[in-house]
This record gives sequence, C-alpha cells and structure tokens, in this order.
Amino acid sequence: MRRRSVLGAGLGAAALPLAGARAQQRFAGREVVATAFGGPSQDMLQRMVFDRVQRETGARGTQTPLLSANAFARMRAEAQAPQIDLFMFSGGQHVQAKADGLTQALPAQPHFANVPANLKDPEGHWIAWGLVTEGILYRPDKVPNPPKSYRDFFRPEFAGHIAFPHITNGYGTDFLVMLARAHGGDERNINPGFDALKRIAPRANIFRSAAEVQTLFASGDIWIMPYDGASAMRSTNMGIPVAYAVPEEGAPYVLLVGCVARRSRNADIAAAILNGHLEPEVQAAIAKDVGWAPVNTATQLPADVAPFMAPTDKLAHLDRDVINASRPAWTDRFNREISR
Amino acid sequence: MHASARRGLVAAGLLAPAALVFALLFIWPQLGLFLQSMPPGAPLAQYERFLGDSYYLGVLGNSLLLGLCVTLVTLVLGFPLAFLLARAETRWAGLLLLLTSFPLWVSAVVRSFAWMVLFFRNGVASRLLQSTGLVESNFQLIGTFAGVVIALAQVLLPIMIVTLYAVIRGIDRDLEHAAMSLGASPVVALWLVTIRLARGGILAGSLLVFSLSVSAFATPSLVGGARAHFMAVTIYEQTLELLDWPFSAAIAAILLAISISVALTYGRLLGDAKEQAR
Amino acid sequence: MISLRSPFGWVLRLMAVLTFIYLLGPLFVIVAASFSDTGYLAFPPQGLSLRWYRQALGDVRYLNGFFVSLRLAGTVAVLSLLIGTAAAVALTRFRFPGRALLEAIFLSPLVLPGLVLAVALTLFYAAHPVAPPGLPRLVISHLLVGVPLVLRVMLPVLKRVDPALEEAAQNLGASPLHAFFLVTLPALKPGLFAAAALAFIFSFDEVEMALFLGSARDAPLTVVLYGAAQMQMDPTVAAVSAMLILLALILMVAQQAYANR
Repeated sequence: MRRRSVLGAGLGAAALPLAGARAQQRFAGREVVATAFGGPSQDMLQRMVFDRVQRETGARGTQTPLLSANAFARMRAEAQAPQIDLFMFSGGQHVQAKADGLTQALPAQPHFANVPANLKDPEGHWIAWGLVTEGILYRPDKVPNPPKSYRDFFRPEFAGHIAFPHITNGYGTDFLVMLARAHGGDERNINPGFDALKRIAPRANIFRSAAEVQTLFASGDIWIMPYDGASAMRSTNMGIPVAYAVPEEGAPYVLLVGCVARRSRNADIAAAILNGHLEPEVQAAIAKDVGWAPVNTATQLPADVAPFMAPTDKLAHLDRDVINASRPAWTDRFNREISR
Repeated sequence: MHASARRGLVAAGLLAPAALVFALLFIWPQLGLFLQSMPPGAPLAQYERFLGDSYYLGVLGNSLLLGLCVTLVTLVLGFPLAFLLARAETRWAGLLLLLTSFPLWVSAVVRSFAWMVLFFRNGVASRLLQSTGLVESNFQLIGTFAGVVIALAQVLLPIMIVTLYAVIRGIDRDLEHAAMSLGASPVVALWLVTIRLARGGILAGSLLVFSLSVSAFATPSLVGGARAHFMAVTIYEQTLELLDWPFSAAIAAILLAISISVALTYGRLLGDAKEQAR
Repeated sequence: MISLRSPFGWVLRLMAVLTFIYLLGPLFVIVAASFSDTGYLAFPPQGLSLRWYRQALGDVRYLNGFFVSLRLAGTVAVLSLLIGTAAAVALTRFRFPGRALLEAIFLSPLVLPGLVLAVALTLFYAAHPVAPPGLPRLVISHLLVGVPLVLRVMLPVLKRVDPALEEAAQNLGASPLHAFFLVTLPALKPGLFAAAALAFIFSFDEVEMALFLGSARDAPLTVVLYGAAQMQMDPTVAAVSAMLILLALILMVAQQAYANR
C-alpha cells in the first residue's frame, strides 16, 4: 500500500505524453466510466491512470467494479444506451463483443504502437494492456518436489489436497485443454482432457469464485491447483506461502483488454485512459503490485516479479476460436460428468 | 349499488401504484425476455431442451428440494423462537428479536465465506461432525448439499422469524389460555390453538423462504462449489458465461410458472382455512 | 396462556438458545477474523491487528457507499411499505375476480434470481429510459422485490385482523378511513415494522441490480464490497461487516434503553 502511493504520487508529476493542450480543451468537464476488476488493482489504476488523466485533461474518470462476464452481459443489455464507456475484459469477451458489433474503433495513441500486433485488434477495436500467465500453484511448505507437469495432479500424495476452478472460470477451461494436451489430445480432441479430469475430480475441491483461491490455500487444506501466477504473488504477499510453477506443457495466458462501447461518445477519453494503462511506469507498477505481466515492449520488468510470470518462450498459445466455439458443449459435459 | 361502485374505486386506487410498478418494471421487461425464449422458427425448442433432459429436470428437482429443506429447517428452528419472543414478558424480548435480524446486516457473500471457513476439512463444523464418528475423518461439509442447506437456512432464518413473529403477536393469548383451562396440556394447547391460528403466517413465511432459497445464488455457488446444480446457478451460467439468453429466459419462465402455481395453491389453502374458521 | 416456566417452556428456551448460536455463529467468525493479522479470513484468528479497520475507515468509498446504501434502502423501504400495504389492504378487504392471480403475480419476483431481474431491466431501460439512470432507476427497480416482501408479511397479518372490528367502529359512526386508522392500524404495527425492515435490509444487501443499473459515481456499499471481494476475500470486507453489526447493536441498545426508560 505505502509503496504504491509513493509511486503513484511520483508519476503524477510527470508530463502526460498526450497531445497536451488540445486534449485538455476537448476533454474538460467530460466524464468517462470504466469497468474494473476490483481489489487493489482498481485502487492503483485510479491513482496512476484515471486521476492523472483528470488532472491533466479535466476529464473525470470513474471505475465501477464488474467481473468480465457481468460486464459483457451489461454491455450487451445496454448496447442501445450505454452507461459505461470503457469495458475491461479478462475472459476473451472482446472477441465476441467486436463480432456482435458492440465496439468501436479507438483513436490511435502513442503507446499503442509498442504493443505486439497479436495483442491488439488490427482495426483498433480492442487493445490488451496486461497479460496473466497461468500454471500450477502449490504450497512449497507442503510440497517438497515442485510440480513440473499437468500430469503431476495424479501424484498420490496430492489426493484430497487438489482444487481446480469450474469450467465457467476461464482457468478451468484452460486446465481442461492443457490436461488434454498432456495426454495426447488438444483443443480439437478434448476427450483425453475430460478423461483426466474425471480421475482428478472425485478427490478435488471444485470452486467457482476467484475470491476463493486464498481461502482454499489458507484454510481449505489445499496444496495444489491450476491457476495464475498473479494469485500466487498476492497470496505470498498476504502471508500464505504459495509458489508458481510453469508446467513443461507450457503456460496458457489470458489477456486483459480494453474496448469501448459502440455508442459511447467518449472513445477519445477512453483511448487516453488505455494509453495511460500502457505507460511503462504504470505497466511496471501493475506487474509489481498485482502480478499482471506488461504488454508494452518498452517496459522494464521489475526483477522480483519473475517467479510469478512465465517467460515468453514458455507460453502455450491456445486456439481461442476453437475453445470459444466449444464452450457450451464442454460446459454441458463438465456439469454432467465432472462436477457430479 | 352506489356503495359497491365506491368500494371498487377505493380498491382500484389502493392497487394502482403496485399495479403500475409491476406492469411497467416486471411484466413488460420479463415479457421482453420471455419473447427471446421463443424464437419464431421453433417457439418451444428451449422449453423442450429443458423439460426433455433429465439433467435439467434434476437441477429443477435439486432446487425444489433445497427450497423444501431450507423451509423445514427455518420453520422448525424459527417457530419456537418466534413464539418465545412474541410471548416473553421480559422487556428485552424486543432486543432479542432485533438480535435475530443481525445476520441480515452482513452481505450473503461475506456470510458464505464465514461458513466456508467453518466447513473446510479442518473447519470447526466439519471437525465437530468428524468427532461424532458419523462421518469419515476427511469429511468436509463444503461442496455438500447439507452444507448448502445449513448455510442458506441461517441466511433466511431471520426472515422466517420476523414473519412468524408479526403473526403470533396478533394472536389473542386468551385463546391459548382458554384451551389450557379446558384441560389441555401446554403442548397440545400450543398445537391446537397457536399453530392453527398462525397458519397464515407459517404458510407465508414458508413461501417466502422457499422462493428466496430457489432464487439464491451466492450461498449455493460459494458453499456448494461446482457441485451446486441449482436453477439459479444454471441461469447465471447460461446468462453470463454461455450467453445463451433464450435458454436462460426459458428457465426463468419455468421458475415463474412454478412460483405462480405454488402461490395460487397457497392462496387456495389459505382460503380453505378461512372457510373452515367461519 | 402457555407458561414459559413449565418443562415445555424450558425445551423452547433450549431450542431458542441453540438457534441463536446457529444464527450468530458465522457472525462471530467474521468479527473475529476482522481482527486477524492475516491478509485472508482466518478462524481462529491469528495475531491481533486493527489494520483492516484502519484501511476500511481510511477509504472514503466505504463511507460514501454506506450513505448511498442508507439513502437507497430507506427510500425503498418507505415506498415499498406504502405501495405494498395499500395493495395488501385491497387484496384482503375487497373481493374481485382475478384477485388470487394478482396476488400470485405480485409475489413472483421473489423466486427469480437477481440476475434475471437485472438483465431484463437493463434491456428495458436501454430501450425505454423511464427513469433517470443511477439511483432513481435503482430505487424503482428494488421495489420489485421490496413490495413482494411487504406483501408477504402484511397479507397474513391483515387477514388475522378481524374486519368485524372495523365494521363495529364504522357502525359506531367512524368513517371507513377513520375506522382503519383507529382500529386496524394499531394491530398492524408489528407487521408494518417487520415488513419495512425486510424491504430495507433486502435493498441494503442487493448486489445484482446495483451492479447492472447503478451509476459508477453513487456506488452503494454492496458494490464497493463486491469490488473488494473480487480478486480475494479481503479482511477489510470483514471489518466493514463487523462495523455494520456494531452499528446495528448500538442503535438497538439505544432504542431499547429509550423504550424501557
């Protein structure tokens, strides 16, 4: 907390690399509303991005906490008259949003150019500002041999100490796919994944809410679960020893993406806000405090976050189109066969 | 004739605000959703998908069973307490009544987390059960139907107590007195008179708790985890994760149809009770 | 009347004590965990710290949210009580065709998960902005649950109040309205209080409609708590809950002391 506020204050003094005076005139007195993932990330982004844009342009930015799935439902429901301008998604909803015609093109911003092409929409409808790498979380105090592979979930000593997320949690889907890959299948041949899950499930705790991760490790007698490195970092900061292992099958990842409602009249401010997210100092602070990896290639990554993020060459690139198309069938099958 | 016309006007006036709110904010929006569940090509497809699938029927059965269990637990625990509070002569009875409402001040999510901490294998509640020897040593209440019932009943118990209290307070205690002076034992007096007279309140509280158990989402999904196959959880999944709004609208419509028929039956039951009383 | 000193009375008392333990046990967990020095909900608590209270009190969003929620729930309770009681009187004192169906429809929103109401209303308001966005929208939407709660409590209470008494008062020369205020209303008091309390507490605790219909600027406490509990179960949330409990306790004791003076 303390460290963060000092950092935020220091950054506020720096000049905003936005077309300064012009933006100031256009933005003054306007208001932009964005969704947020809640928790400490929201506080930090308010200080480092939203408040700063307000100071420098006069546009007031407000965040409202809304999980990706809820946010997308609201985006869809009020497409005709959006109350929220900037939507943040972590579950791949931006693809569907664009396909459904719910988004609009964003005016280019200086930092957008530093984001690799596969992390932004070629037509400018969405851009990633963070990346969360998944893998295996475990209690180093209970597990002397760190897990190396998704096959390690079958190690006998873990029986009764495994938790994994429900398939409606994006990480649950990725776990299924990685299990399939570890057993000779893949996105198109998911059966081996379901067979593996079926063997793990009877002795595992299957949870739905992301907020449960720390509770499970701290009070639930859980030693190992497939989740993201950022959660391991936050747990460690809270005093629960949780380590992050990059499996040999590779680390899947999710993107943190911003996109603007099609009928919003504040795309210009929203773009400035997203540019603020991509500021190298902000990217570094997000990595340090929340554990989300930077996507602006100009960012200097702080050294102490490395244990909680997979290196770029260890990332597993999943075929999201196939996964999204299979989601209803997989969810149905999961409910009937796995979470009995 | 004139008087009855005036009475009709008064009734309409009393009903008008509620009717307006419901027509505008409930019937109209729900009708919009309902129409989504009946696409022109195959108007009944979503309903067949639900009603023709034993998995979804099982989900419906689970929800109804959950509602029933929670209602029973809250009634069995709530009635004696409500009775005691309504009849106690101490001046602190009011305080105790307000004390029962305390759980309602804490959001359902936070209360569910407290239950989770108690329900994990090493949690106090699971340990207690393990020590009785009735369950295995690695038993945990988390992720079980019983766990969901225990947690949800605690959430809804205050509502049952408040509803019963309001009715029991209105019962003339001289009637109980009269039954006892006719030679009935206290238990029989209580059964004969109080429970009978409080029937309306018992039915109302039961229906209230039943409805709220069926619609509850946070507690079943947190305490029950992935093994919570309930209507509300299915609706959330279809609406938020799978974006199948026609299907979730159909499930909601089925819930509504059940609720309205249950309420109508209840109205008839109560009507019969009234006829008998006359 | 049934003597509470009889053996049966003692059985009732024992049951009541056990019920109180069951009701308040989880709250004890929350209050205890809020003093824990750990960054997660721990029970039994480990260490002793007031930092979650400092954090909660130092964050203006919680206090703002509390006042927004108070305003929201207060308005919803008053409106629900007025609208719901009026409808309950009409439903119990007048006979007209379709009465039972109307009653069933009035009560049916309770069975729908909050998300269904929230999505349907969001779609509706986007097409028909009948109320200004933000708090006004949220208030009238909460009536959909507040009114049924009031109805549920008031219908049996009203059915128990003998209309004959009212008629007697009218026969003695009171106008129907006067008779209602003179005879019926005093008998309704516990019911009215219970009904208003339920509507208030529902609105104070409601999340889904607040997430979908609320404005970012006037976020009710539930939305602030939802945000705080999203990525982890922050003990700040437990501290806020414990302070709400404390506040309710203070109000209660003060009210009781005043009443017992």
